[in-house]
Amino acid sequence: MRVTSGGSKPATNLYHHFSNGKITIQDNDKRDKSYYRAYHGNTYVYTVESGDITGYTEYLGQGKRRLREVKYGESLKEWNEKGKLITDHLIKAGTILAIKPRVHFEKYPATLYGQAGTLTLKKYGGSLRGERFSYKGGRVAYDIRRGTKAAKTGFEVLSPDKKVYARYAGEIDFTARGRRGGLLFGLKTKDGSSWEEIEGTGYIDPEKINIVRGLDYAVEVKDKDLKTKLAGQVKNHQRVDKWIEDYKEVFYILGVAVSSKLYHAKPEELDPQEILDLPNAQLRASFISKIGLERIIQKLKGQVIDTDPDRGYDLISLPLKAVKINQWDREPDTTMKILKVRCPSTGAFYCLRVPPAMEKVEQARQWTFGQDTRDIKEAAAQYIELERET
Amino acid sequence: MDNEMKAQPKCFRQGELIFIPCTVTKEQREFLTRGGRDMGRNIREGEVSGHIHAINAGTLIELPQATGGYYQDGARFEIPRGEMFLTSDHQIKITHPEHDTLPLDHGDYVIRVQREYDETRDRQVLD
Repeated sequence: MRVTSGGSKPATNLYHHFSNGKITIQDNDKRDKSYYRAYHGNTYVYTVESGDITGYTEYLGQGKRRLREVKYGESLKEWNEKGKLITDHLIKAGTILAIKPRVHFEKYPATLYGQAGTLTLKKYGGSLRGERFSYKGGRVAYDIRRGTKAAKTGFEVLSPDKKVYARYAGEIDFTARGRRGGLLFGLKTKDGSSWEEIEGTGYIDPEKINIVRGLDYAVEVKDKDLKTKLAGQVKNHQRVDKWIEDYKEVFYILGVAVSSKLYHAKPEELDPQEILDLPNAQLRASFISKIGLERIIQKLKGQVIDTDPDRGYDLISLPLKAVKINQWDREPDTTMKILKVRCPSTGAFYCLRVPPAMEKVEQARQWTFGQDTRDIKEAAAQYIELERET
Repeated sequence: MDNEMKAQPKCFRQGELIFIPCTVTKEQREFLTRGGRDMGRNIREGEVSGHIHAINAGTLIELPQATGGYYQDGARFEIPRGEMFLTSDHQIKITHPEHDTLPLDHGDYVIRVQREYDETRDRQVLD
């Protein structure tokens, strides 16, 4: 049998096995019955009416040094990093505890760019609150702590002579998701295996750029000779503009890698047909907005499928290469429909892209006003009538 | 077209903005003006041209969440998040450097931005 709890503060939840028993929980929390939290001072008290629970021991980091030892019905003992006994409680018979976590520091020998030093982790229970690397001799390469300004905006990794090895601009991700051992960068052996297999020694990998999160961020990682190896920025979760990846230049538009020629092309140099044939829908949409719908219909003409001579509006259709946006998505578009409209004030023509299902000028115009047009007859009943347009 | 089905009142347009007259109760108006963000005089600035659609009177609110009300003929309307609400006891003039000035009677209006199709998503028209 197993008793677990959830929803408490970090490391205060229970996860215990016991055999053939019954547990009564003092329930003071009425909000959520799926979790029981019995609060008693700084400890969470659960009463075992019967059963056989022996206890557990927590060790410091990967070492053999005890940090906490719980023997149900007997005692709770805690030691600091130096091995000094700091807590010695009696646990009443028939009671198990989930004890409030405390801040502690773990230290590991490690290397950064081949230079030896010490990696210090600040931990609260099992969660990472800070990480610091100092070279032998005391120079600090980085010291980043959760909740500080640096953790919200970014930080730099410095060499022993204070040159910048790497910089990360953005919110630093302290959640352990996707990381081994709860570290920011993680430690690796020379063959790239995880730190856990090597008892806490290895090298720090500054190329692990997923330590920065959020919509927008930027990174730059240099090699030991201070040559940029990896750099670029992310906007709205997508790589944009020039990146350096493994020393090579790569150009991104909306997260899609494109050739340097395409990236640098001026709108007038782009061939509209080539744009409509692009194999990525998002990229194609970006280039269509770059060259403008006006130029597309000027160059490729298209077929006028409906017209409103009074207003001077046209609905134009152009064939489009079918590109599936993702495997769960609707059927890809095979035509592009453009509504050519005239501004009543200036007389200037401009173009609006409308869904491929549009068949009539008025239907397309109403769609741009936000009216649903899945059924033309139903939609017509909902048409917006304009008394005056300027 | 069946006239009984017609739910929309006569609307007004200036460039990419559509002004839809609506009727809200006093309580709804208070809720809208208190809950939304007061946008001052500027309805919308052109992202490309920088030109501004502006009002000369009334209160302009950007709605933080979807809400509803009734059109003048009793049909219910929904105001999606991101649309705007304009209310004024006096006649309103909508101005823009490129478009003719649009006069509107006093009352309540939902302001909607014309949209454009994007095969990856819908987006609003930029001027």
